Amino acid sequence: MPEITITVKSSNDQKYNVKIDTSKTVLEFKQAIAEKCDTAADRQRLIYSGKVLKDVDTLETYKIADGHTVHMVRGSTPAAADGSTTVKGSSSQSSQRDPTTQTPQANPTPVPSTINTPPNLFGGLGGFPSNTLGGGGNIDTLQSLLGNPATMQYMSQMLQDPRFVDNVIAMNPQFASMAPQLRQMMQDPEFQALMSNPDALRNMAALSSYMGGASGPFTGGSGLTGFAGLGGLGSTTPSNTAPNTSTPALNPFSLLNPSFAAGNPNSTQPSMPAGFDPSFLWGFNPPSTPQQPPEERFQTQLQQLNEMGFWDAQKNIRALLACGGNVNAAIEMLLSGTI
Amino acid sequence: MAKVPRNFKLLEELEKGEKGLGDGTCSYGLSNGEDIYMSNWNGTIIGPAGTIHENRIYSLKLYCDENYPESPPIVHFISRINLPCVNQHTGKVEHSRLSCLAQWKSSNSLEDILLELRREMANPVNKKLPQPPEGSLF
Repeated sequence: MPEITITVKSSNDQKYNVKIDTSKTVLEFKQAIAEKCDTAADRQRLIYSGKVLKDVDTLETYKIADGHTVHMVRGSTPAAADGSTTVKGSSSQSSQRDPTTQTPQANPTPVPSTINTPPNLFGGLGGFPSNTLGGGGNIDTLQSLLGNPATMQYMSQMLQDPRFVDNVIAMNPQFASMAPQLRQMMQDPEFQALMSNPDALRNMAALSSYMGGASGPFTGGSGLTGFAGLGGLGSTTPSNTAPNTSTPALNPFSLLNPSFAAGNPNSTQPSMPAGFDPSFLWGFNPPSTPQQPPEERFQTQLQQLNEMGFWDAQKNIRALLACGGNVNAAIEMLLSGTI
Repeated sequence: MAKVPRNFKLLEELEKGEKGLGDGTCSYGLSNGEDIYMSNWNGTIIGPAGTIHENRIYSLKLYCDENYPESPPIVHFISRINLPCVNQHTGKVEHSRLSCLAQWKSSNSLEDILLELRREMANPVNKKLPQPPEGSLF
């Protein structure tokens, strides 16, 4: 086997000439480099012709010839070096699911930018179309989206941001009557974990597309559409669509049930079975706006606003309607003069 | 000005890539050394220091069709990256969002594209963008 001389250029502009046999593996090559510089073999990352060299391959595989140059980058840790040299397709699932690896340096700026444009809320997710979620449309898009760690990051960021919740609530009058429960649910760590779990979301997508067949009414509110699909989260498998089969303990949406029943006059059931999956209900009862007039629904909130010196009842109601009954958001709105 | 035939130009670029005549921050070469049409290329960009990309190696693929270098190559990121000019679903570098692709000149090279992408990473607007975990792929 021919021995060749390879120029190794390190990222700090050092150059080394290494003589090596082309039948040697990349790892042996790295060890040879390590003798000439202070970078241990397991911290070296080598690049040649636009490829990251894998330890197990021989130099022949990459057709490195005499006089050619290999670039060396120092990895921060051996683990990081592994990550970049592993075989394609080994997605780092574990790190994607671990919210702690995503959130730390994440600054919350992307969230406020979406706050001002409720209909486009999911646009911030890189084109997260809410009708895709609920309408059972393009599952492929969703799949690719779910695999995107940036999505997970945004998800957890948004769920932790109370303003996002306000926004979701404001997006659909249906949510207005259950704002407190919804807020509680979204801040529930279990729910957040579910939302950050690609598998759960995938199940949800499958489920919602399954339900999409019977879902003319889903075209109603985009916010609700997204969450109709989410209702399925409670059930662990897509086949669990029958009302009585889902496991109550797992279903964070179960706490939505009472208020939902109250807000939905179409529902004749006085009390729901423990594990009732709300998405089932939503699938068959088109979302209807609550029949109570806003004055009644927001009675306590209106009183609060009054006590704080906001006298204009009509304005208050409009603000509360827009904010889904959230007093703080309504105040902001009233003060900003946008209402 | 004389028009450089496609294969001459690509051969020249190939040699430059193999010999590492550039500044070492970007590397490129044929995906398959036996590809006599020199259509499919691999590229890597070493993340610029002082940015979120530092110490990362980004892999790309570049496709030069028969009209190269009159028309620009098609460039995809293989490694996931969050950059405005990169389609977040496919990893494709949008021609309209990268000036050297949008205003392509036949004297431009593959290295010019990689270098401009690297400048984009170091662009103050982009250098702090949250990035997917290293090693994830499009």
